[in-house]
Amino acid sequence: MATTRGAGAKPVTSSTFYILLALADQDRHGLGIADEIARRTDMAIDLGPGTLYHAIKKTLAAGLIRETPHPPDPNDDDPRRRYYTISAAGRRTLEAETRRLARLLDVAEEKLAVPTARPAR
Amino acid sequence: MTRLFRLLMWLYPPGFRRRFHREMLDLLATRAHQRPPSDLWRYALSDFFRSLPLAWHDALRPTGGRHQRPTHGPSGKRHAASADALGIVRDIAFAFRGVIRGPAFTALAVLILALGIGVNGTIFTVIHHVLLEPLPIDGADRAVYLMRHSERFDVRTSPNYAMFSAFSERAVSYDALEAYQSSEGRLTGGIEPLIVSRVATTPAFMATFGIRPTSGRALNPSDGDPDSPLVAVLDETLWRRAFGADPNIVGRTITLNDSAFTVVGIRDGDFPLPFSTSGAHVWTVLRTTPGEEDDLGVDVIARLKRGTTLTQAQAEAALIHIPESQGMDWESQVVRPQGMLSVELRTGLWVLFGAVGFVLLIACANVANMILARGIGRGQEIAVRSALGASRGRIVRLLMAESLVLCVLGGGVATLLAHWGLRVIGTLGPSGFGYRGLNHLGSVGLDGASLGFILAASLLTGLLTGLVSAFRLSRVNVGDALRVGSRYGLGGADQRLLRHTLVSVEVALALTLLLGAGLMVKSFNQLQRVDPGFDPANMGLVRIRLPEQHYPAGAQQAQFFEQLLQAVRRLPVVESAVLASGLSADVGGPLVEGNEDAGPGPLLTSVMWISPSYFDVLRTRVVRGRGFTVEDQRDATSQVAVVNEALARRFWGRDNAVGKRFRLNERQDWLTVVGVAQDVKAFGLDDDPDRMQVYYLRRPETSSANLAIRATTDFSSIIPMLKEQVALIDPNLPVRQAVAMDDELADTIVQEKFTTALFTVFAALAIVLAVAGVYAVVSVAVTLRLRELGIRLALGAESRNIMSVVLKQGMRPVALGVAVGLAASVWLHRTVEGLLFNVSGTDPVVWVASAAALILVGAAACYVPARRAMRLDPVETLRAE
Repeated sequence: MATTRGAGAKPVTSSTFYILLALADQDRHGLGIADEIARRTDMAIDLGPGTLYHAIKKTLAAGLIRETPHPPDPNDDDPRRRYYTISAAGRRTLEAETRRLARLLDVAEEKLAVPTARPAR
Repeated sequence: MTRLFRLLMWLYPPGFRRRFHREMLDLLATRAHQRPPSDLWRYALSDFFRSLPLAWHDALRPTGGRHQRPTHGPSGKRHAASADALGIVRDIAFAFRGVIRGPAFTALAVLILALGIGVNGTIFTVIHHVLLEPLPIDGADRAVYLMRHSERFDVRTSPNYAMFSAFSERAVSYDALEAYQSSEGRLTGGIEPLIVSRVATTPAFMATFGIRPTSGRALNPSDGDPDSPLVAVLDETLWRRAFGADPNIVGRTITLNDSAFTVVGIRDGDFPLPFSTSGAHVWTVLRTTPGEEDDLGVDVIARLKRGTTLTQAQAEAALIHIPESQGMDWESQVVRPQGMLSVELRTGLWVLFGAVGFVLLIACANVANMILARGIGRGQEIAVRSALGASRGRIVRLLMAESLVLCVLGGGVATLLAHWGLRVIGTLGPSGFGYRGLNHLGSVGLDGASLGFILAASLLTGLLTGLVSAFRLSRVNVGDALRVGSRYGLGGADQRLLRHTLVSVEVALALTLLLGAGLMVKSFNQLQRVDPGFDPANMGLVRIRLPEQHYPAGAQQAQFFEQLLQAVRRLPVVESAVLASGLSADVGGPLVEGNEDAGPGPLLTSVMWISPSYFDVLRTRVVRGRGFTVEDQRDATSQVAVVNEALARRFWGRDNAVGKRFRLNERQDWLTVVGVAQDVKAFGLDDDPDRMQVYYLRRPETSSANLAIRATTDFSSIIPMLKEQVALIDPNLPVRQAVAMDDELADTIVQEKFTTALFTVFAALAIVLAVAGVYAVVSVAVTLRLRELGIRLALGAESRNIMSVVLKQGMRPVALGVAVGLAASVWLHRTVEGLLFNVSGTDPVVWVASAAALILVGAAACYVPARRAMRLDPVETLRAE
């Protein structure tokens, strides 16, 4: 593939971005990721099972997240669940994507002359 | 719903499914608790349609994705896979072009598929609605009903309040146990007086099962306090109908059975509770009076604790002693909600589902045959593709794509057909759905589950049809196909074998359905010919119950009914009229003087109180002795009874019963039999022929009575006049019910009619499809053999011979199909046997007639193309070659 990968190389899909964001502070299992996204967006974004796990699969394949054997919360230790953690590459991508979106927001605000609102997703 | 998605999981690529399906269902189950049902469907289906193509795209194209790590597989394979993914898109586009290019072929195939899928969608929706859809309460998957059963009398019935109390105190298997009683209520104080369905529940019922009001509040435990004011919650539809959607309804007072209730809330929707009378409800709190708990019949819904199984609950129930009542020993039963439906209804629905499954298989076989037949014309195209290097897999995929496109189009049309089919079913008005409060299915429409089912059925059909045709067509012999002068290339013997096999399968399936339909039609005829024991012509019943508040004294009650009887008798359209009680539910068996042994079999006796001329009005024959006389009525001490033939037969023989004595329980005085009346099928035409019946003389002082009326004209047409007479005497008294006996009797067999009618329609559809299949195959065969037939004719063969050659070839698969169908029916007829009335599943007339009918229509289907072959002009034919 011709594209070189690396920080800020290309925008990631929104599902991937949400997953990275959900894992930024804590390792979670799939359901936990979906819940975190739904909670953070007041249910405005609620990834369905197919969409979520497809995105997880792709993000895993891209090396942005990894499966982790240790659940962070001992009370939530369901042995059948797989937990995910964000990788270094994932964190770089998340940061790059956040910067990209921030730049985009700046441009948008300039064009629309919107007074600075809270940081958008 | 989870069940549906469990199935849909199979549509994801295998690797993806294996890895994630459990967690996906987990997420879905979590959301199912968090989202309202309608929203959940949107969420789940939109996710499904969005992620399915993505997942497949990925599965087929492992090199895709921007962040893809280098894979380790051989790179050549990767390229091929990538090309494949693009190829699929091209195939589908190509398939669409093919569909547009051959409109006649497409239209026919889509129609056949749509019929097959459509009937499946229709029946699935009915089944889903009646059998699968959970109760409208929280934790419905753990809901059970408590029932009581008497082995000796073979009766299963709802619990009484005493049993509910016993379970409330002692049972530990449930985290919720609530009772309700449904009855009719007179609602006044609205736009017009209405008879409504009233549900009186234990105070915590609504809170426990999560029945939430849209405005106001639900009934709550404090409403059960005996000193608290009477309150009610209305169903939304009732609020609209009776109160014109009055926005200030909460707080308003309504009058229910002459008691004032304050409306405290409106309930969302109007899904009826099982066993409540249909329609919208008024919800009130069930209040009990100590001492009456034995007589108070209730329905009890319980919710099993998490982790408790039905078996455990049943074991526990067996240990809870429930008080004896109505002279019977009872044992408790714990039943799943679906178990509350009659076995006949459940069997009937599954049998119908099986029938439409067969129809769909026939449709598949038909379309596969059509694709094969068209493939004959496309031999060259496929051969050219092969010759140019298209792999066999590539060709298979192309053909699969075509059949999938056809089936998805078929599924689209099927959705319309299913929608329309449900309307038709709604008008058939099957009863017996009482447990859902649904007396007709008119309100059932397509929902998310139906659409999901139709989609899944379409895809499956596409795969099945595609596989059959694709693997055969892809085996084209390039050399043969491309030889100059060969039009066909694909008419080989193995091809013909496949086409004939498909026809045999179609015929076999159609025969089993025809046979089933034949048995059911015959059974239905038998049922209609049953002598009901009275003459229903122009006869009807008016049911009246006097409110005790207005008619407290027996004398007042007697006076009202006498006045009404005289008024009705004076009407010129009324030939005769008589008062009687309603039929009691079954009581135990009679205790016969000098004969304690009742013999084997359940003892079911129903009781009725009648006036002297009752048998004359109904035209029920008194076969021995006499009916009641006016003298019997005048003599207050007379202890006489009339029994039916079944009772007399069981204890004394029909001819010896008169003068014998019996009583229904130890507390009663002995009654002397004065007459034996013909058996009346009081519970419907399929009533138990051994049901015993006792007639007492009616006492005039009763608060409820039926007026049995024989009119000089159609009873339905005089109902308004009768209501007018009631209103003249008491304008505030609603007539509970006025029914023509014809309708009432028809009602008792409406479920049989429903099953029979639908099954017959499906069998007819199956035959039409099968005949079309036979016709198509023979037509193709004739076309393929034009040259040979032409030569035969040129060499002097007579047209008779040509005819027989074609017929023989065409009828061979039909005969084989009939044989296979009969063999399969030996096993399959048992599934419908339980639905039959007075007909054996092996009824020889039906079997022979069905087989003969299929052979005949098969021959007719062969005859048309055979005649074409017979009339060939040999010169024309050979020149064309």
